[in-house]
Amino acid sequence: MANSSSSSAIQYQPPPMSYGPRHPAPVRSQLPKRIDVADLTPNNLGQLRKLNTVLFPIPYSERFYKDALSPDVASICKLGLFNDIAVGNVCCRFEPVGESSVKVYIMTLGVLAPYRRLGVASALLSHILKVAEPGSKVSLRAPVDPNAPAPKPKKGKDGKEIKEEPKMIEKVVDSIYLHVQTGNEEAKLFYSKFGFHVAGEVDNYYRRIQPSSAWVLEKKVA
Amino acid sequence: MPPKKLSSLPTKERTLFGRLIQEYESKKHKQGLKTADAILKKFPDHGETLCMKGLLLASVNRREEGIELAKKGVRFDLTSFICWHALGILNRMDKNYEEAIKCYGQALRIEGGGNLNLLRESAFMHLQLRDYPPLVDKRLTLLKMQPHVRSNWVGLAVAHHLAGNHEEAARVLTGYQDVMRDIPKRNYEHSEILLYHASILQEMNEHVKAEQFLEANKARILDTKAYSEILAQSLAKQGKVEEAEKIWRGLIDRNPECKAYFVGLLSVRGIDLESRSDPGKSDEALALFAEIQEKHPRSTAAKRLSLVFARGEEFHKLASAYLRNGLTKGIPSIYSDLKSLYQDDAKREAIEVIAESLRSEWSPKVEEGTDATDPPSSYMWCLYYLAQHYSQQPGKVERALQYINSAISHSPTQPELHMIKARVLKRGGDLQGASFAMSDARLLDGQDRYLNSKAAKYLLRIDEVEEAVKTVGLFTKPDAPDPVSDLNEMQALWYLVEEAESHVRKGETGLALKRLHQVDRVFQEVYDDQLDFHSYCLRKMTMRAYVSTIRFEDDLRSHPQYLRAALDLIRIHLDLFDRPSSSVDGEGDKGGKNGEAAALSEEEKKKLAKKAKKAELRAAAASATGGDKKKSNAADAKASGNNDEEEVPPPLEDKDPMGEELLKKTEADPLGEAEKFLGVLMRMAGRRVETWTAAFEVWYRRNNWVGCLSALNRVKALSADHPDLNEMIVRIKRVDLSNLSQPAKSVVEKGLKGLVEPEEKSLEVVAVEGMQRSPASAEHVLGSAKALFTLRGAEAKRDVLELVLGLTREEVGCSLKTLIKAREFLKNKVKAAEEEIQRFDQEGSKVFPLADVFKRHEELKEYRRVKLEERDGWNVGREEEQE
Repeated sequence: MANSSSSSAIQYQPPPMSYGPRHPAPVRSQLPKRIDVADLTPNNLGQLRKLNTVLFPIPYSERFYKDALSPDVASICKLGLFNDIAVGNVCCRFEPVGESSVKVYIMTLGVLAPYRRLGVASALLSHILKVAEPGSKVSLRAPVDPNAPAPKPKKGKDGKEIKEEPKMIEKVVDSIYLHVQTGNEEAKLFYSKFGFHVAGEVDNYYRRIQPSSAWVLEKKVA
Repeated sequence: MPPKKLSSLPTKERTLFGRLIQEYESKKHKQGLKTADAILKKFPDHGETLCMKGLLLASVNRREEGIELAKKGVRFDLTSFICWHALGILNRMDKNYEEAIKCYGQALRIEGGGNLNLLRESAFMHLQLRDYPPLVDKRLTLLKMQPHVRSNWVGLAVAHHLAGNHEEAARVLTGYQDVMRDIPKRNYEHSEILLYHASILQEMNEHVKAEQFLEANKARILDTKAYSEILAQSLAKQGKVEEAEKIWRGLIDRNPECKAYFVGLLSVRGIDLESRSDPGKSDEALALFAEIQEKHPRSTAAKRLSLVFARGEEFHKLASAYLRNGLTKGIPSIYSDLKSLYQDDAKREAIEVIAESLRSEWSPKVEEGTDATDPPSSYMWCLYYLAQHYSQQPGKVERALQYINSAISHSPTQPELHMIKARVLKRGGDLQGASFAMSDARLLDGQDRYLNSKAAKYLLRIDEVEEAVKTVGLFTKPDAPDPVSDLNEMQALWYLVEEAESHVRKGETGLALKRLHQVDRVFQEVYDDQLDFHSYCLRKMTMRAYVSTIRFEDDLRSHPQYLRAALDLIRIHLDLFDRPSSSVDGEGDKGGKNGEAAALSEEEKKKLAKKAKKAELRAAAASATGGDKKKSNAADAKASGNNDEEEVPPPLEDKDPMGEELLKKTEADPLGEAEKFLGVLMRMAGRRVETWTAAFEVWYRRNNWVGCLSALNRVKALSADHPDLNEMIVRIKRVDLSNLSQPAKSVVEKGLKGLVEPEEKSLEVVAVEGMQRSPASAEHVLGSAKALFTLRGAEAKRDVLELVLGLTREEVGCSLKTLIKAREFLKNKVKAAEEEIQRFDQEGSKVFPLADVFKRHEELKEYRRVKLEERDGWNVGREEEQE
């Protein structure tokens, strides 16, 4: 390159283009290591997309991202921040079980390799267990009957339309479950620390990765 | 006010007129209009009623009509002060201050000069026009009439002060303090006046008096911070070093982050920030900072200023601590904070060593260990820093790119990293890639308007105007007619200039002119907006801030964005002059895209042609009745728009959305238009060499040889080694003077003689002089190539080509900017053959492999396709079922 003569004599090794998982070691005391669980918004959805493309081998559909912003799951779809950098996420959904209860299914939980072993995933999972502990109640929007006539929009004093508060119904959390690729002992160990057990195995769960079977990990009411 | 002319009306109408005045004063505009019409029904020629109706019309946003009506009214009743006053107010609303003053003057004469309102209003007009002698007059009259009103005293003092008569200003303020006896305690307005008085004494260099004045009035001055600052300065100026130092130290105790206090303290010791080359002084400064830091360990200002003075080992130690702290905390701006230290090569190298050693200290460990580590965020910020560090050093763009790509693979969600990647690519000349990276940053954080604006700017750089408008539209007011009009309203200069420059590249001259004129308009608005402050500040008594505002407004157009816009405008005008048909479309450099744009504007043109014709007719009609074109446009907008008499002004319809009319107007006299902006630049930016090179170009085309010579001399004085100087000398020396009259000829010849020394030096020698003097400077080589071409034309083509191609040699170290300029010169001036340009591009891309100017159209298209695919990879989820 031009002007190479004026550059300093020391030639530094360029930095690597990829990073493996961080080794377990604490961050030195006195240094900032703040972990936050942050809401998903339409404005930071790009960070969730970016994380998913880096963390998981599967491309997620537009539907996945649309659902993640629904108010019902606002408490169980979160970004994990380390010193204000978005480094991980957890996305769950409620699955109805009978009339009065739901299961929580953890669709994704992941943290960028260089930020592992810092407690970000634990913070995210603890958050899920706090807001949707098996046995606890969650309040969800009542499903709208598609055949019912649309209610007339009400108008406030200033002539502006008032959005009607959606009807809420309470449901009991029956259990939390997720899939983990068979043989991923590290993940199994992580979840077992939070009280999850292997509840079964599904063959041909994954289409593109080997082994294609998956464990079902589950946590029920203690 | 007893209107004299009312006698001409019968009793009934006289009562109605009284009501009309009242309705105007209580802002019942609609009722007032009805009342006026009632009188006019019987007495359609009653001047005062016509004028009042004009005022009312203007108040309901029909100003043009109002002015016409008032002018008519004045004609019917030339001796009525009401008429003249009303017309004056209307002219002021129309920002026609000269006319307003004349009307007020008439009204005052008729009334006998005793109308306070008129006097005050005239004073404000004089201030707005910076016409100081009559301002002082009016202020003096006002004070004599109402000596008990405080603002009259202050008004006179400010008038003297601005007129440059500090003694008189101080005398008036002293008088004021003598007269004002019973001022309540803790009165802030009075405190401000006292500080204003002190600051005037200071400007007079009366530091002893200033000190005494402050001491004497200490109890009444409430702003103790300002008190201490002024006192410290005055003490220092008197040489009362110890006392001054004590006060500065006290101020630092109050606010240990205020750089100005440190500068004050240093100046007491005879150290200024520039005198860092004196080791003794530097050590003294460092010791001082160390001492202050002991007391204020958190003071960043002290730490940062230490870096200015420290050298060698000491610098290494302090900078290490500073950088380590900033990167650990994740302060994104730390590079721009430290950048000014880079002027010193040794410091730049030291910082590089420090940052690199931090990188290796923080880099992720390969072996497992149980030792505590630094947070991975520090490592990321360190890569981020180094990428910026390398990106601004010649020839290290690719290194910078490695660092930022590494950082992105480490922490892909951090928007700042993508932003820096964009900047690195931009510096490497890859404007396409830069725009993609900046848009990536925006997509990661949709609520950051800074990222949004940057993304739009980078889109404009690759001439994606439509996409850019869409992007900025995410943040502009939803009820604005379109994003650009909102940005114009919000005075977003950066946007207007960037969009204009994109239109220049695309050959859309009309739109470019329109945006640049909008920039000029914004500056005019900023200037006009001070009108309200003339009265407001006199009420609030914040005279120190007011005077600094007035001085700021005086130099308003020295703002860098103005300079840029005005130079762009002048360049467009020169271009229009050189090839009058260039407005149709630009020459398509990169093929298809420009063609498309031209076709689009062609279509648009047809649509607009009809509109333009109509508008022209209207304009002609309007100018016949005395209004100028612009005004009539506004009136038409009003007339054609909704006619409801809302008090809120509806947005004026844009009559010339594509700038076609503006272009037509400009094409009629491009040099005359250019001279208007040149005039502003010569007044406001006379210290910028660009102003004078532009002046040379304009005057050269005017055959104004004397002007050219004076511009050349200014260029020489400002930058004796300016790379384009020799070309200009060659050009002017070759001018045929035979048509000039004898006296003019001898003046020019005399001037020409002085340009070259010794006089008999041949132009051949002059042409290559720059290059010979600075053979290592690419700019000068290019300058000489241009001069040679000017001298010998096509005959010199071979030599010129060789010189310009030589710029691409690696060891020349030519900047990308200069290479692009050289390419333009080859293409547009030399008219080099296609294969010659290709050869230049090939060589250029060896030095700047990222730069897209050197890439072929297909190559860029393919690059774009790949980039779009990458974007899809993460930003648009696939419409496929997940497991």
